[in-house]
Amino acid sequence: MIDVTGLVFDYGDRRALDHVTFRIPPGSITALVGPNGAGKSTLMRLIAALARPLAGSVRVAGQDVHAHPREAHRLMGYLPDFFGLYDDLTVERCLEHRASAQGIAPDARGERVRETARRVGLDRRMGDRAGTLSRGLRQRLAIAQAIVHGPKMVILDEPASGLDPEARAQLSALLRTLRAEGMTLMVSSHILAELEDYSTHMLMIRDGKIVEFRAVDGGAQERCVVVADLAGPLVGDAVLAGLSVLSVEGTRLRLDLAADPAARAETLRVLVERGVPVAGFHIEKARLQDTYMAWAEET
Amino acid sequence: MNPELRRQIAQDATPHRIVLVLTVLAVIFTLATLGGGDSAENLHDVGLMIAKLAIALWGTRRVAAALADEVTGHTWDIQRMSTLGAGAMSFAKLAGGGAFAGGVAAIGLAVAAFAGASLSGVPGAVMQTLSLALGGVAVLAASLAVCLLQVRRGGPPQVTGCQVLAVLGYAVVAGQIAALPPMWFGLGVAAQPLSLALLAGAMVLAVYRLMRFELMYSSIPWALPAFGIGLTVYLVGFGAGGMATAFPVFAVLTYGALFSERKDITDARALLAAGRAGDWRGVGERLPMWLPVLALALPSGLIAGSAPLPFLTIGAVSTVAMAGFLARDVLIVLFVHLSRSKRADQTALVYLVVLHALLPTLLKTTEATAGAASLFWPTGGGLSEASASVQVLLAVGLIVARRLLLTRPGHGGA
Repeated sequence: MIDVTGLVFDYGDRRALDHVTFRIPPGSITALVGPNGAGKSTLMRLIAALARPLAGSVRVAGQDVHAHPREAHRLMGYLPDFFGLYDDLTVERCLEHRASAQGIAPDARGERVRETARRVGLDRRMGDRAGTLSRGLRQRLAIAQAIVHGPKMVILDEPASGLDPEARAQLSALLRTLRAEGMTLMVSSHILAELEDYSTHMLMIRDGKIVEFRAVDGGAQERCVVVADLAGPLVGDAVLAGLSVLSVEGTRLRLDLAADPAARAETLRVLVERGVPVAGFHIEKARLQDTYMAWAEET
Repeated sequence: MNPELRRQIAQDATPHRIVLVLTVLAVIFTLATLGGGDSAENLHDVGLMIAKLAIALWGTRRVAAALADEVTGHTWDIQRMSTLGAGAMSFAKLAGGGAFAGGVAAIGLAVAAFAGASLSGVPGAVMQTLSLALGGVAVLAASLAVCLLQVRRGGPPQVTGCQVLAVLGYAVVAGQIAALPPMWFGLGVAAQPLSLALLAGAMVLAVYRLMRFELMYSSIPWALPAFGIGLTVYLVGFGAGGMATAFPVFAVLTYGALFSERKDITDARALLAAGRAGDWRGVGERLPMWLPVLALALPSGLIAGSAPLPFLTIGAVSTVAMAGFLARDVLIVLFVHLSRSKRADQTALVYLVVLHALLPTLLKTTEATAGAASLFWPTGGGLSEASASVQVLLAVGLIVARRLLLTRPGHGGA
């Protein structure tokens, strides 16, 4: 869905993005993480065709966004980190304006506005002026404006900043729904636990360079940690020969496995055959926070 | 209807504002009618005054704010991602931002025209109304164009600055237009409305071109050179000499573009990268606006030689030397910008004032040094031309030296 190739962007003599290349698959939610000043917002602005790179290209659904920005904008929704709203307009007028500015036909506009408002939970606030909304509701309205035209991909820069826990949970649910409906999302946030709720991929950036890009939901090619809960302590190490054991702590055995189900079934069979008293067997989801911190320590 | 125009009008022209303004206008016109003297003359003068004030004080402000408020309110990026094209967005900002003030001005003009028709006849009233309406469009578009230039430079737009620059600029140009003779290429013309129509068209085109840049359309900077050529031809029609007209036109456009554009090393690097890659379209798109007009100013100055400059009362000058000083000034501005100072333009302006005004004036104060004033003033003869050439070389040397200094290891530059 998003193909970024050799992207370079400078602020004066400082290189903000240094030959950034990655590809985001359709229908995914990519968490863009990195320290302050890493280049996250710059990268998002370039993908949104709001700035022109020194070199490199960005393609969204095959469309070169810098060669054909207006066409690309039809495919995209964008929520900047610092967003504004027309405070004098009601929620309904805000959404109507955005829908018509995005070229939604007049006969479809009303329904689209109501549907979008319902999805973000603003359908009961349609008559309220944007300036009177709370921070969380303003955030929802801004997201509604970004998705009212039904874009194929949505870029959200720090969408959860300033939201209370309930609003964050609602935001997570909304993003999962959008993904389920086929949208591709790219989300930056400093709150990694929240990204973990809905992200399928993680893109780590530091000093303008991509450090790592990988799936975080256990894709077929990924490794995962399988935890076997044992009914009693292990007797001898021989029963674990040939297995990729990460650790044995009391009655908890952690194994490093390929993520595909056949490998897990085979491992379970081997353990049972060797008499290991397996009482439970589950995948330990790698926490985004842990992955990020491990990476941050390495770098 | 254009959605942005609809939003602008909905936000500005609220019912209570309309009622309030109409009431105030009714009171003013009633007082003008009931006041002493000729009521038609009073209505005419008051109508004109209202129209001029509504546009100059209110309209220019609202039009600039239509964009500036979006930038400072962080809604502009979202607007830039809408499907509205540059033409639709320009029209929405111009017509929407200026709609309310324009409506008031239209009422003032209508009253003035109605009263004026009984004073000076219908043709005179129509011509005056037309001129004022065209002038109004020109000054409103100028205010929006200045605001777009500020946004393009990357700084926060200043509404009052846009307003002041547009109104002052318009006043200067309108003064020149008023002095134009009534014959153009031997044809009798209504020079004022014609010139104002062309000015309004040029300002609207400027808004459109700058809006294209904001909305990320690829653009090659042909509009400013084309405007310069068109203006030269237009002025030549009023009896000005050819190249002697072209040079000051392109020189003024060069200075204007130079100081209104962002001058960032990143842009220069992108231009060079496109050139190295053989991407000539990319080179065209990344050319700064001042470069094509400078490229036209220099040869026209060299060809014009020492022909008298039209519309200027600075005596006999060498346009060859002036072209040299122009090239030097451009290099000085670029040199100062290499320092990355936030006030580089202001610093460069100080240098230029010293070179163009202070040094020649000081040298002229004593008889012994008066001849040396030609070093900095294009009085003609070989001295000022030789001096201009040396100063150009010195300015090039300064730029090369500063660039080398910045790229030395450990300096942090690139």
